[in-house]
Formats: sequence, C-alpha cells, structure tokens
Amino acid sequence: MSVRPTRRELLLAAAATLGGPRLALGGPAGSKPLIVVFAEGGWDVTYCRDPKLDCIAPDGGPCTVEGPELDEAPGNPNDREAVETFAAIPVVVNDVKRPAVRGFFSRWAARCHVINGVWTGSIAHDPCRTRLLTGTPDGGRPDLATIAGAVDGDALPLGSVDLSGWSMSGPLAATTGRIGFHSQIAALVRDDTQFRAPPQAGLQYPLFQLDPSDEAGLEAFVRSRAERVRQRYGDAGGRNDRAVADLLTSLDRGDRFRGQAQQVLSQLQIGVEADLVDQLQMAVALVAGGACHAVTVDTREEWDTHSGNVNQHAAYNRTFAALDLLAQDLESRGMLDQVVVAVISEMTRTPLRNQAGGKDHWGHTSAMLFGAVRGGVSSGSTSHLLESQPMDLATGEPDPGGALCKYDNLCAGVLELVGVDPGDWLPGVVPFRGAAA
Amino acid sequence: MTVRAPLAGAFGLLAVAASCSGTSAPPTAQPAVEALSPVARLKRASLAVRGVPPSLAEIAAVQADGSDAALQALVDQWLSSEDFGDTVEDMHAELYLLRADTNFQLPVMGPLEEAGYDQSDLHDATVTAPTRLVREVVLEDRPYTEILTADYTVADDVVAAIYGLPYDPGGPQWQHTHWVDGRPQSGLLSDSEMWRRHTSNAANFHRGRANFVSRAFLCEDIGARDVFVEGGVDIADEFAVAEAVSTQTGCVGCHNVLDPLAAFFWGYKEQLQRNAILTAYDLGCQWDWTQGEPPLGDYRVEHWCYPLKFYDVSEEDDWAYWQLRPPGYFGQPADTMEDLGALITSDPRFATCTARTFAGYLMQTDRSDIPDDYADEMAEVLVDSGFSARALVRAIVMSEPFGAARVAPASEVGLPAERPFVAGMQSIRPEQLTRTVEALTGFRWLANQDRPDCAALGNNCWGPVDLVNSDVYGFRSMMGGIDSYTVLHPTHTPTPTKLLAMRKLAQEVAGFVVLADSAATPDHRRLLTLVDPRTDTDEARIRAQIADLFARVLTDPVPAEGEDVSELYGLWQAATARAGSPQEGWRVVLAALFQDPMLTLY
Repeated sequence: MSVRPTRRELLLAAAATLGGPRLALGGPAGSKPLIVVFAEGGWDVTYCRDPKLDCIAPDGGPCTVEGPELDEAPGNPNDREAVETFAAIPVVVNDVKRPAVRGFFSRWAARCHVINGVWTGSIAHDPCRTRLLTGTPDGGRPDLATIAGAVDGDALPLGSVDLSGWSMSGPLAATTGRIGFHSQIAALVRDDTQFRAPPQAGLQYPLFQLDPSDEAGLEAFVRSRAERVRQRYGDAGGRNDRAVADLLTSLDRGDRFRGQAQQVLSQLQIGVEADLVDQLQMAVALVAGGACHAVTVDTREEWDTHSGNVNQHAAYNRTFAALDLLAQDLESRGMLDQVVVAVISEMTRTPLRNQAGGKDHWGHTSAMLFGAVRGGVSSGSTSHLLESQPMDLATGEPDPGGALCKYDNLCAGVLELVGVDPGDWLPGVVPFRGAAA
Repeated sequence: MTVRAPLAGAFGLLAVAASCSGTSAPPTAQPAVEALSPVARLKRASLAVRGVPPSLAEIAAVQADGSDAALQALVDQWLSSEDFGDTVEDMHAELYLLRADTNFQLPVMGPLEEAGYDQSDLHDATVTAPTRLVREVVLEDRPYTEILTADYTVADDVVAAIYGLPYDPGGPQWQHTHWVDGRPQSGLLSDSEMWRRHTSNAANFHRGRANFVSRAFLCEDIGARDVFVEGGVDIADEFAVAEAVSTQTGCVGCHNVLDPLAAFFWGYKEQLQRNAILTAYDLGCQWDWTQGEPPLGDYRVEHWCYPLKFYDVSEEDDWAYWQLRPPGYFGQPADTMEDLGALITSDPRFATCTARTFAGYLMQTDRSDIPDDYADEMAEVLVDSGFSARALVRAIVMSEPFGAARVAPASEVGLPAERPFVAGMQSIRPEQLTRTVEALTGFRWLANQDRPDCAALGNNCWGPVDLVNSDVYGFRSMMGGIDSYTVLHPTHTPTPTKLLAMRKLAQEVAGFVVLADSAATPDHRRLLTLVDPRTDTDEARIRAQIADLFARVLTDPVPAEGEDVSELYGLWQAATARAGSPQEGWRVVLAALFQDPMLTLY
C-alpha cells in the first residue's frame, strides 16, 4: 500500500516553498496576469461568435440550427440579426437586442481572438465546468487562474483570487483567496466592517480586537508553534510538511493581502453579491496593485436557458458591456498588452429549441481571449450541426486532417499564453497555439 | 480476510510514539511510519469521530493507559454519542452536496409563512432530512444498507408541511413517516430532497440523477468519462437522438448503464424551483381553466403550492414514450425504486465504496486515493459486521494509517521510493471548528445580516446564521468546506482566507470567554477555571492556567514552566501591563490559542 509521488506533486511541494522577487506586472519574464471570465450555465454561441445565420448543410439545404433570428420581432425592422466581420472575426449582431456586442467588437476586435469548436467532453454542467476550468475531468485539480497565480504570483500576497465562487484550487489552495458568496471577505480585511450579532445574544461585534502592539508577539508565537509542529511531525516533504508550509505561507499571504487589498475591496458590502462590472473593476485593481496575479470572475447571468432561449440576448448584452468597460480599464492603465482575459463557458446550447422555447446542453463551446493575444482573427469551426471540427492546433486554422480542440488543448494553450509551461500541469496535452501573439 | 490488529506491523508501521522519538529506527530501508503519541491519537480520533477535542478526563485516561484498549473503549463510547451523529450528518451532507445555502431555497409562502417559519427553518429542515435518516441508522447501529432500502422517510414539521406528509405535532421533532403520492419507498432513493437538489432537465432524462447515484453509492462516476458524439444524428428529431444513445458506439458505453438507472426516476418532477413556487402563489395556486388545458400534463399550478407535488405515478413509465431503456441495474432487469435499493446494496461495490467514503472523510483523503487493499479490508469489516457503520468507523480509527504521525524523515531511514499510505496531518473542518469552539467556550459565531426588506418576495430572512458553518453570509467554503453548489471539493490544508477567518473568530472567542468567565462564579467558568481573570496576577497561577488551556483547547499537555507557556505568559504580561488589566492579557492569550497551529492542524 503506497503512493508514489508524481511529478505534479513534486512541483506542488516546490511551489509551496518557492519565493522570489516580483519582476514586473506579469511576474517573471514572459508571464502575464490572467483574468478568467466564466459564463456559468452554457451560452448559446450562435448568438455571437459562431454565426449560423447563413449556414449551409452538406446537402445544400439550410443548417439545422435555430439561432437568434427566431427571436426577431416581425414588426420591428431594426430587430434583425446580421453577420458582420470585425477585423477578421465574424460576429452575429443585433443593434436592438445586443448593441453592446457590436460596441465591444468594433472597439476591441483587433485585440480579440475567438476560438470556435471547442469540444467540452461532457454535456453536464459540473463535468464540463471542471474540464473547461482545469483542463481535466478531475475537480480536485487546480484551475487556470490558480495555476497561473501559483506559478507566477508566488511573490505576491495571493497567487489568485476567486471572485466568482467557481474556482477550483486543488492542492494549490494555499496560494489562493476567495471573497465569499456575499462578499464576506470584507469583514476579514477591513477593521471597520463588522457582522451584526443577533439581538437576542446581547452582544456587539467585535468582542475583541487585537491591539496593534500585541500583533507582532502573537504572530511570533503562532510561527514558533508552527515550527514546533514541523519538528514534531516533519515527514520529508510529505503531507505534514506541505500542511505546515501551507500554514506558514497562508499566514504570510493573508497578512499581506489584508494590508494590500483593503482599499481595492472597499466597495464590497457584506450581504451583497458583487456584479460583473464590480468584479472586473476589482480584478483589474487587484492585478494592477500587485495583490495577485490571476482572478476568476463570473458573469452573474442565467445562461442555462432550458426555457426561453430569448434570454441569451440580454445576458450577452450585459456581459459584453462589462467586457467593454474591462478592456477600456486595461487600456487606460496600459495593461491591455500585458494581461490575458479568457472568456469561457462550459458548453453551448443545442442547435434546436425544445418545447419550452429553450435549448438544452451541447458538448461544444467557443472561447474568446483578449489582451495579450493574436487579435483580430478567429480559430476553429463548427459544423452545420454545431459540432466541433478538427483544426491545426498550432495555427487555429480549420483542418480536416487536424485534431479537435478539446478542453484540455484550450486550457494548455491559455497556460502557455500566460507563460506557464502546460506540460507541468497537463502533461502530454498539445496546447492550442492559434492565439499566440 | 481478517482485520489486522491495530498498530501491528502490516503497514511497516513502527510502534514508536512521537513522545518517545528517541527510540531507534529500524535497520531497514523499508518505508517506515511513526505512530502518533497516545494523546495525539486520542485527539485525532476525537475530532474525526465527534468533531470536538477530548476532555481533560479523557486525556488523563489515555495518559494513564496508553494502550489501544483504552482508546478503543473511548471510541466505542463516542460511537453512540450525538456528536458522532453530527459527524455522520456532516459527512453525508458533503457526499450528497446537500448543504447548499446559496441556492435551491424554497420560498416561505402560504402555510409555511403562516406557521412562522423563516428561510433558515426551511433550509435547515430540507437539507437535514436525508442525513437525519442516515444518522438514525448509524447511531442505532442498524445495517447501513437501510439508507437505501428503508420503507419510511424521516421528516420534521417543516418537511412534513412542505410535502404534506403525515406528522404528529405532539411527537418528537424528527419522525418516521411516508410519502403519500404512491412512490415506491426506498430510503434516500425516495427522498424528494435528494432529487430537488439533484435536478434533471428536458433532454437529460434523469441521467444526472442516475450518475449521482452511481457516483455516491458505487464510486462509479460515469459522468467523469469523456463524451464523444459523432455527427450524423438528426438532432431535429428527439427520438432519433434517443435512439442514437442506444446504437452509436460513442454513446452506448455510458448510456447502456446510465439510461436504465435513469429510468427509475421518471416519476419525479425534473425540478422544483423557487421561482415556480413564487409564480404559483402569484397565480393564486389555481389553474385558470379558461386558458385551456394546463401546459405541463398532470402538474398544475396548485402543485407548485404547498404541499408540493414532486412525484407522479402516472409518469413512472414515460421512458417508454421516449423509446429509452427500461429500468435496470448494470444489465440486471428491475422495476421499482425498491428493486434499485436492493440491487445497489447487494452489489459488492456498495460496500467498498462505503468503506472508501468513510475512510476518505475520516482521513481527509480523496476516496479515489484510498489504496485498494485498505478499502477492501475496511469493506470486509463492514460486510462481516452486518453493515455496521459504527464497526467500520471503529476499524478505520483504530487502523495504522489513521494513527500514523508521519513517514519517518529521510535522515532516519532514507527517503522511501514509495510512501506508505497514512492519514497524515489533518486540517480542522469548519464543521469541527464551530463545534469545538462551542464545546469549549459556549460561543457560536452567530450573525444576523438580513436586510430590512428580507421578508418580501418569499421571505428571504435567515435570522442568525453560524458564520463558520454557512456560505450565505459566513465562511464555510472560505475555511475549507464546500458550499455544495459552486465549491464541491473540500480543501484540507490551511489557506489564507481560512487563517484570516480563524484569526477573526479567535478574537471574538477571546472576547466572549473573558466576558463570560469574568461574570461567572468560579465553578461556572468555562475555560479560565484556575484564575480570577479580573484580578489574578500571580505568575504560578497564570502559568498553570495557560498550561491548562493548552490541554483543553489544543489537547497538547505542556509543562507550566515550559517554552510554550513562557511565550504566552510573555504575551499575557505585555497586554496586561499595556491595558492595566489581566483581562486584556487573557484576551490575547486566548486569541493566540484559538489560532494556534495545533488547532488548525491535528
């Protein structure tokens, strides 16, 4: 009965103890901060980046895809779907229902790379989400932002921060931070933010706040106790050593994050879920302020439209309006060329609508990368059945003799884009390199 | 196969207590493992089984007799305790992903509102009902198989009101009752709360539920397999899709298993969502027949009003309409949910999976990482005991991997090429932390963050919530737990947010203890039992009190003149001098102890 340490575990052990100077905004040379924008629920790619309006089936007939055109109001001549090309990216636009999509691409298409035809490996939310965020079917593995943060953000207070709730940190948890469903972290980083004790308790929080003059002594005590635990239970780089290393790392990271992120997180209110715009503002501020290297945010939209696929319009519109603000923010700070933003969703919707006017799960999706990427083009393709088609993973060009761009290829490609060797985390996976600048 | 005697050498374990580490290592390159000291093992066992540290009396008993027999006697006592019942519920709530307080809430409407319930009442009752059944089976040492075969369900007044179950208001809070909608009764498999949490949707045809059953009870995660669908299916034809999953080579591997399991669930409604209930109440809970026939078959608006309808016998065979496979179990024909319960529990994988689940939870190890031979050994204990979960827990807790302190460092025996399987250092779970703090101090970190308008729109008033053990306002997933919706994997190591939350909690605990113990008479003090916290400044008594706190809070008996106590005494002196009050000294000491690494790790 034994467990042989894997290369990944050895890397993790090393990552737990590594330290070093921060070289630039992106960390070590070649590394770039990563912002993952996750559209949980499964967007309908035919409403935006994978146009099927003029799609022709192999037999010459129309495609078997019911897209946004079904939602057009007959009496409103302006409510029309059309395919327009921004730079070299074809996009479905509708200036009545989704004006923000046009707005975004008209300003930022040259900085965007769209990947169509990403095979998701499943058609259920949790398995797809795990695959698209981690590049594996294993929810115990770290996701893209966590890996990027752990590898290149080791000198920062936190490697990565999860503003979304969806992030998976696996064994790199000691490098990460979460803000909580209702912004609870505000009470941990700001002394002026306290919970309300129930009236019947007859108490008022805080019941005690450590005087600053006692903090150093208390911290020294905790650290000396940790050292004694290490001496007593040290196990030559095994689980015990990792736990103590994580404890000491977390103490240090927590303190530094508390000191550095107080201002950034000042807009958080306990009890209020941060919307996408707020999350993106915080994400940029956290990265720009050197509080972390990677962030995961959630669009806070209901993409899982089993009934009423028409709701995709509003979700796209709000999401792209927020992404537009994000791009402006990054540009104004001079960061757009240094940061990679990965906008992903775990799946798309079926080609046809169901009896409830909605669409069910489909095991393919698209992704959009912007910032420090090869912009202005799209990679990959889908068939008339909205199924992923093979591509040349090195260029992103559709290629019948190529390979499917699977979830792991996409994740490996994103890691490589931000300067992380994907072979350390997704060994044997060929990275998608079509978006390499 | 027989169970090896605890702490025998079967795993290459050296029967060397950490407190006797001067004992020589063996002259061998075999992977070597050191056992925990009896007191450290007592602590690990107590926290794992009960979620609270051992008492001073229990520590003294083990110090007096460090044998396995002494520990086993205590473990046997604990296995009948309500604290163990809490652990059983924690474990199964995590396994079934039930405690999702950030999603899946039923609204407080109609009779529930009239009865005065709030959102916490509905949440707590609905997420507890399934685990309450498991708790009862385990605590009463009935065969664990009963969780899937029981011909009853368990409900409190809230659950009974939600689903219209027979309930005696004069009886105990949690009662045996039964579903009245004609569904087959088969323990958790027939529990609406399991399937309200694990939803289905249009084209899913209950396969998600089937996969949940396979994953939770058999450790077979069919959904973890990659799904390859070849082109050519006429997706305009739902029947063609249904046929494809039976015929396409890329589909049949999973669907041959999944679809017959899913067929058992056709009587259940796909989902039971908050908004649908709110809408139904807006419509007055009556279908307007002037609108023609209702759109959802046998379900009408009134079925989304309390008591809720969640099962329809007439839909049990609707799999046939979709030309899907009939109910079956991995190739064996079956008919009802009772059949499914019987088939699962007689499947050898159920015992092995149960052993993995318990061992994984108690040793904070992913159950897929439990070595096969260990899982098999524990499964045999389970089967031989007549599926006694208590016997299983006893065997795990008394096993060598559980009681191991560490793999011996390279300097002593050489770094082994392959590490023996050991539990290793554990990280306190939020559920354990809140119970530990309450058991030691009487304090629960409760807060009421309800907005003034929370009573509107279905009553979203939670009232006081436990900040350690919730996600709607608290820190459960930020402290390593799961929220059962977005965070599905626990984190068993310290993290920055966990330590920040523990730091905050430690200060609140410190403030509370000094406040409470200062106001209490000496014989009613919880922690500061050897001093008067308001006035005492005698060094010997202060040191004795600090040493006592090490034992009580950390299960770490240390000498009053030792280095650990001296460090805290120094903190006590500095804070007391600064504030001019010994109470401040005790606040600082307690704040330090409640974020001590020996509380975080055990």
